[in-house]
Amino acid sequence: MMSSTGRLDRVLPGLCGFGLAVAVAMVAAIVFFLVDGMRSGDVDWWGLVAGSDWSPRALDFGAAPMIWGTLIVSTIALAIAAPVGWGIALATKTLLSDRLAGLATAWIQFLAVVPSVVWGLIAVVYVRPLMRAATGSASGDSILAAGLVLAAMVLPIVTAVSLDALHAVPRSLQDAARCCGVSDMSVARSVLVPSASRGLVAGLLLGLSRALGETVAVYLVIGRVDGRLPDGVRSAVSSVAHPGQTLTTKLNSPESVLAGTSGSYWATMCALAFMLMAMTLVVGLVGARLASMTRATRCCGPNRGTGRRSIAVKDGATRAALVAALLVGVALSATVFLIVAARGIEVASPGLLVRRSSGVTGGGLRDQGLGSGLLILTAALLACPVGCLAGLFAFRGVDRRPRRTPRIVALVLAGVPSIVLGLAGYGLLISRFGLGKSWLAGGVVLAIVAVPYVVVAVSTRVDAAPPSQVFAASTLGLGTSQTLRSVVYPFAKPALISGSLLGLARAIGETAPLLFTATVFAGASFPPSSIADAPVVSLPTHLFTIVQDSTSPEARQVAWATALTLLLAAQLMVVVAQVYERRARREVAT
Amino acid sequence: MPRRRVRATRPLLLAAALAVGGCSGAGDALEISGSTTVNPIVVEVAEAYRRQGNDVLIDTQGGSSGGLAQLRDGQIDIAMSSKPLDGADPDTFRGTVVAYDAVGVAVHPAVVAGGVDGVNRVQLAAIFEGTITNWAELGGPDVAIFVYDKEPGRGTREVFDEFLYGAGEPRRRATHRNYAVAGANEESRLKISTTTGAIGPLSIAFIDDSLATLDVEGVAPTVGTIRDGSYGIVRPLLLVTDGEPSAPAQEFIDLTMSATGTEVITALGYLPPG
Repeated sequence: MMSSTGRLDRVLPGLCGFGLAVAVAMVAAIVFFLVDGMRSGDVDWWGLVAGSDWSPRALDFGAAPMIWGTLIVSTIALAIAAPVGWGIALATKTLLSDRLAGLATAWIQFLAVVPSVVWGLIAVVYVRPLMRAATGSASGDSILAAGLVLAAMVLPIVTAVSLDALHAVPRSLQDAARCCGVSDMSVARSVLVPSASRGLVAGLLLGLSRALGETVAVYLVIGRVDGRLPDGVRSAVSSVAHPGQTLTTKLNSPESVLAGTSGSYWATMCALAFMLMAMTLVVGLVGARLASMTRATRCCGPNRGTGRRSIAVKDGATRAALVAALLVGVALSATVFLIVAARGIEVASPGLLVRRSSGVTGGGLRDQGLGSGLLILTAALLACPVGCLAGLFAFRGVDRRPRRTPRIVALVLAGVPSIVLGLAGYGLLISRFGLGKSWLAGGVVLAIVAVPYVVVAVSTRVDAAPPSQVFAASTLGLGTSQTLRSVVYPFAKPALISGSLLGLARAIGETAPLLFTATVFAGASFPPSSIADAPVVSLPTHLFTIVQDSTSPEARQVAWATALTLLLAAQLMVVVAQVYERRARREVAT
Repeated sequence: MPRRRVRATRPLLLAAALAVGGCSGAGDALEISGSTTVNPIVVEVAEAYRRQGNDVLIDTQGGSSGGLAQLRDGQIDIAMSSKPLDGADPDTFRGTVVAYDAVGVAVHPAVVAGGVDGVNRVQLAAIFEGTITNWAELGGPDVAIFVYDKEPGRGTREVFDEFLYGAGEPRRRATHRNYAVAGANEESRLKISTTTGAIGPLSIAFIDDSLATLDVEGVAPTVGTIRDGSYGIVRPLLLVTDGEPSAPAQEFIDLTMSATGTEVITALGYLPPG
């Protein structure tokens, strides 16, 4: 027995390095795919960035309207989500008791669990008609509709990051201000906001990064039309009520498949993906950097309000704004929950999950559920060990600062938009390696979605490993790798579980990557008969097909049932993850 | 401690063994992908094909051009195409015409109810380019026209553009704002039927009670007018293989051309060849 653990100790550091190497290889594969693709044909970069005509037959590739679309949709989203998210975070911090704050946070974070294809369903059924009524447009497909849906999708990110920043403001600063007789609202304005400003900006940037890369929900309501570039401020404003195109919606279109896998058309598609990834990565990494700098506090400025009266007025306005933001968040979460629950329960029955589907959209969800299960299981078997080992690689031993590489790799991986993951999976696994559309390719891609969550969770725990225990282990004569195994790993285990579950909760709702790598329209039976050329059907892609194509009431019912199933599965994983997170926190406390 | 580790490892090993064991065979299903217009025929024929003990996978990502691209890359066995093969396709491609279909000019029912029953080629081009923007200009209701075109690469789009502008001529750019695209036929049907004043090209097999069609140059798209060639926008529906079809592919094509296939094709509203 001794010898087997001894052997484990010898190989453990190497194993951790291997885990990190796999994570790095994932990044490298994506970069290789893009660079190789761009080099397979001529890319006219200037024409791509400045041109506004997109006509592949004439080899005319102008992507300015898509870049504009991506920017304007994200701007609309953040113009709404940032102030509301900041307001919610401030309200939670200043107006609510700890108990209520916990409840409100959990309630609003429910929005983060909703998969983007479910947002797409809500958008098509509710936001499109709303836009029709509001803008007088006959179709409702518009940039504005996409922006509104995105705003709801990124709200929980902005809120969560901002709240972390506010919590990091030293209590002493706030207490000092209060002791001077400053009101709570004035403390919020003059102490909390300035001290946490970096974190608040970080929230905005991380939300923006997500918004830039979001695909499926936008795809379903934006109208996907090329060549729309406003020529002035006025036409820019009025253009939001009309259809447009973004980088992600173009990449998610069939053109990615019909561009072949080499030549200038394909190279241009890869260049679009590269531009998109550059945007999400830069914004995301700057955001993450700012978020990690929130502990460095700044001195607060002088309270500029003079008279008692003007302060009272300002306080009143602040309080009203914060309450309003909080109400918007709570109401939005409640609305989404009630819509999906009510419409899903209407049709949900245990039989639905047992019956096989008939035709394209009718019948049960048996094979879709099993398919999603297989994809998630595959992703878990890959992502958990890789993420755990890569995360543990952060540990360097007693009295030495942990390595930051795992976290950086994870942040890069998390910044890759899922549509780019899908295209990389399609280009490398399906096409180049000849795997064909298969559950294995889908599982690998979903694993890449989940890995960053695991790495961040585990490496954060490694950072937090109690120095006393680590030190005790070293005084008992344990080496670095023995300490890693007997102290750090057990300590990080709850984080491994919660991180994995959070990553898989995100992965189970991913749609765009599966469309390119793992699922087909019909004929995929369960279980698949091999690893290559063995596609499956899945819940999110099934839902996507119905939302996009079906008017029949029966299909719509199946759609809501699918949405509810997906949401429950993701929410269940998140709830279990939270149980483990709490356990982890208790361990720190004891 | 060691006992616990064993407990945790055993299910993992079991799962891995199952995964490997269950997946040793090679995928041998016939793979078909492409046009959503040909898809309903293939889905129905596939039922019969499966009853004969065969396996078939059907995908529609990318429409006709997507299917042909996948065929060129060797990812699939048969491509479904709703447009004729042309010089851009490899010489090795072998197409079999399994049916004929008309591209209908589908509109929201209120347009026909409001008094528009037909358009000519010039008017159609003007509508799609955005120079005619209101149905009142064509004697219909005072409702703005909303164009739901097919996205680039779709067979319907290419056949329709060829009708408007002649072979190989690119579409003049549509610059008007009431213009969006749809992908699959099902999506076109959904979008046109739920948008007031909408118009779009759509396979007549997909036109149901939720939509109406306009006559083109005075001719309504029916089986009769497709057969006698008086309706202007008719196209063949093809099953395409790269080189001579493999035995299973040939079997599938034969089944589509048999009485079984003809029955399916007629029931769906397409015209069998011959």
